[in-house]
Amino acid sequence: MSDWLFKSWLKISALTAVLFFFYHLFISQKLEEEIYSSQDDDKK
Amino acid sequence: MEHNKDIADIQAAEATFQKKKKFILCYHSFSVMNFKRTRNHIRKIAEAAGSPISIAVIPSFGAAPESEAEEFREELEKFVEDGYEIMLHGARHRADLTLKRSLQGKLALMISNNEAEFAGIDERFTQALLKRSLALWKAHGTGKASGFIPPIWFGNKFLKEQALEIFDYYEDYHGIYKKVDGKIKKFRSGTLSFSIVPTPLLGIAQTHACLKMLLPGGAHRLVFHDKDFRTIGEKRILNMVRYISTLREKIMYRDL
Repeated sequence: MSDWLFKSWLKISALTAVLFFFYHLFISQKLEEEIYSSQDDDKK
Repeated sequence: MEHNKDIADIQAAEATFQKKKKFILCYHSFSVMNFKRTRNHIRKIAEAAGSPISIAVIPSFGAAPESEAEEFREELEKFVEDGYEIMLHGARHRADLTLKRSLQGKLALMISNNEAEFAGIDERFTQALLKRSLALWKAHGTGKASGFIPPIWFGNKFLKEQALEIFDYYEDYHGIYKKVDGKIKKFRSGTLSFSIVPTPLLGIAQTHACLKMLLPGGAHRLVFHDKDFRTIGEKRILNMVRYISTLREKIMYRDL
């Protein structure tokens, strides 16, 4: 029983880590996007 | 035509779902010492979010010259007129080291580099500091402050009750509190702040913040400080605000 629990926890943790990693890649890309605001236009 | 209607229905359903998820956007530690720089940060964040945000103001003027103080007062007035929400953020933010503090309070000062103004002080000094904060705001500010946020979110066992006697809202690291029919109601709300996160971990902290906003539950607080514009950078901060605004509806404390 405890062995089954440990293995399940290990699998869930690994899956969570992989999902978080891919989400991290997505967010990193998203946060680096170039977007121009109206305040940028004012400067021109 | 039918296809377009389906898309509109799906978009409406998504919008309704997202409306249920809310977040608070707050800029912390706006003061006479930094307002010339930070007022632009606040305006840019509000523009990215699409509406005014909440501002946690340090009401103490310290030894600022009168000309600067006057300019700061005008800036506060403009923010209030434009619909920004004011929260008080301590009296002067920095702790008075002469006050007697509990062991937890002393520990909080060590962790916060002596910024946790209210940490571990007794009932009488808590009351005095709160009144001082309010008096400073009344002397310099415009309108009514919605609530009180203790510096670094470190309070003491008396602060919540006392703050809610004066203000509508009080918050600590774990939630937001409001007095309803004489009882204190807690709103589930996580704090997503980056100012104390070590620089190598900032990327992970930003992903964590976005993920927390993506998942349901709580009216989380997304908090920015002056420092974040140097460590995270303006582009990433504004993009984060834009992205989170697509996931949740931005509200203010007074909308809770």
